[in-house]
Amino acid sequence: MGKKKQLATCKVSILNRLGLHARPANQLVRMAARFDAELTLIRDDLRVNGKSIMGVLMLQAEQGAELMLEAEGIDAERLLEAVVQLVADRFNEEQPGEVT
Amino acid sequence: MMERSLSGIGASQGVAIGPARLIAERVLVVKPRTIPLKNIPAELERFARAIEQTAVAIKKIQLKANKLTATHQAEIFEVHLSLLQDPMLVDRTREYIRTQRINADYALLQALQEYQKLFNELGDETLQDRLVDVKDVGKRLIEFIQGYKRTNPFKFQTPGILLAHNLTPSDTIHLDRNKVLGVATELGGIGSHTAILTRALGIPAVVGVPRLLASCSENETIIVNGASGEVVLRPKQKTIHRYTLKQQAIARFEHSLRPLVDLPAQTRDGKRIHLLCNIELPEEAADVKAIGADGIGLFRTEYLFLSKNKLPSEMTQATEYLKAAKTLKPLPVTFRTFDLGGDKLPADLVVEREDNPFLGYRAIRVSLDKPRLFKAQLHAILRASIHGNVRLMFPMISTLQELLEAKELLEEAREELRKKKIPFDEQMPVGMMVETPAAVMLSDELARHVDFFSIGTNDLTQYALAADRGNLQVSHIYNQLDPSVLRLIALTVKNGHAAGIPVGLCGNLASDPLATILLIGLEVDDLSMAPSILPEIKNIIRSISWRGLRALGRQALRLNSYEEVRHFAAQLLEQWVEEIPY
Repeated sequence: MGKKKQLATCKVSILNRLGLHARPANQLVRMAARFDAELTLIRDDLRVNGKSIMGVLMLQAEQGAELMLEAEGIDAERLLEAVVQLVADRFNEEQPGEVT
Repeated sequence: MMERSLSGIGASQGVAIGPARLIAERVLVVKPRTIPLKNIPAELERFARAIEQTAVAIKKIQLKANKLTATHQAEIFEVHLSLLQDPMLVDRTREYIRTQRINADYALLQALQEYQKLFNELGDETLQDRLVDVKDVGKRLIEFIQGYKRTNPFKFQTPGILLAHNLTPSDTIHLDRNKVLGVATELGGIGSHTAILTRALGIPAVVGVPRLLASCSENETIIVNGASGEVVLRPKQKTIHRYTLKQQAIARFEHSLRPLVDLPAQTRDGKRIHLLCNIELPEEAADVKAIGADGIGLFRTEYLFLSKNKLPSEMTQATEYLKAAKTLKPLPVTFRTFDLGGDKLPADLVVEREDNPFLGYRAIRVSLDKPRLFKAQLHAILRASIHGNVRLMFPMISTLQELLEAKELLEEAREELRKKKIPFDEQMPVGMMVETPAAVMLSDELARHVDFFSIGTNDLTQYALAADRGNLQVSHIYNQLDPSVLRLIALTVKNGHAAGIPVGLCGNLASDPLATILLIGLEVDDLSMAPSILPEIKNIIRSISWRGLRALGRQALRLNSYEEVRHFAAQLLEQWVEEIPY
């Protein structure tokens, strides 16, 4: 492995009830910013930069939405693992009745 | 021009009469300029600096917003901060500066417009709200790039009534109570920043007045009636006269409360009720004496843990607590050990996001889980105890074990100080908050282990009725005067008194004049409230007779709904107290 450039892709579906609204979107970009690799999120034919808060919000991914993830860079695989984990954890924020 | 009356929502009571001061939004002007190649690095630098300055500005607002409001409103600023790192905005602007050789503000404007276009194409309403955020941050960035310094638009030369479309949290923080006689805005509700802050400052205010700015011109005389929500434009002499009389009546009423400062809070037939204050900052301690309170019933210690970036040391805490204890001496100061968690968490204390933070890791639960952090606070409070009349209480107790564990840690803390020969008050009273239904049900047992109870009605109501008052869909269920809450209070008082300990109340209910007579009837021994309301509550207590109140209290316990209790309480108040002129 070493410092080689990696290209990684995977698919996730959004689990938290309110979807990718402001707070989870914010968590996602803050986390992605800690990695070198570029992150692209794809929903149907809309491609956005995963490190752009407004880009992520533009996806308007609701609960159940399927997203394709693409990462490119030396830590691409680790980046995707982290994103998958965050999505699986429902962005640590399932609060019934909450509206943001 | 004719007199005209507009109606909005009364946000802060009182009457203001004066010249209108319209706050207009400043229009930004951004023009393209060609930048010579050698100056491109400097232009990029200018942009980088503006980003930093904007981040600092946002963080400042965020901090104040955090202090003033609950969690969710402050959260949007996190998105604003992320926007400053957003490659679609930032990288693109840099790219335009380099490739088009243009000034930073114009480059940024282009990037912003691209954003706007994209958002419009996607055309969703919630996204439009986000566009407001993009514009807000963009505007600030451009101002910093242009070196424009936002002046405080509320610095009036002569006093006037402030009229604006909307006031942002950063705006309201600048309000000067000597120059701003009143406030009226087109947007905003009863829970808006404007409402909360004007109430805190005692400035009459009406919010949510449609077409306000278009209906009024600069310098015209207007009247703001904060109780009725009415705004009168171009009032006739007769109207002005009527409102001036009203103003005078209010002033007379407030003036009439002033001599109460030196008089004790006791009923006509001599029953003494202790009126205490809830405070959040040590600076407020001096006011407590000035308004004639009997002490501090709730000294919230969270600010020490939330305002700085790192957790406060034992000595930092001891210094703060000592200041308050000395200022109040010989009056009591009741320190509540930190109630962190729920919606308040210090940056250092990393805690996993919870599904139900209010049913989760907070208050005494955090304390018992972090004994070192907790003991540092206990040491600090003990150290202060020798310098005044200090009392300590634990928040959010829901089991006997929690109370016993907390007391055990307190005993360890005492022992450690004894070993170090540091003096403290061995007799310091130790109490607990009763704010969970579990604690109420166990109050006979719990009362045997503490020196006093203090009922926290804010949490008790939320837990008893299982309703979050911040949630608009259920907030109508959240009523501190609900019969169920009254019964919980009555049971706590009964069990406390049976064990021979005093029972106080420090929730919002203590600050509600409507509730005062009922609470006295339920035999609550002391009430701890917002300092601003204390004179009014004292006036009520001095107007009533204690005899017969207990029977009324028992009668209230049999009522069936919040509405009935409210009606009952209002009748009691009317019967005893002269009409309040608001």
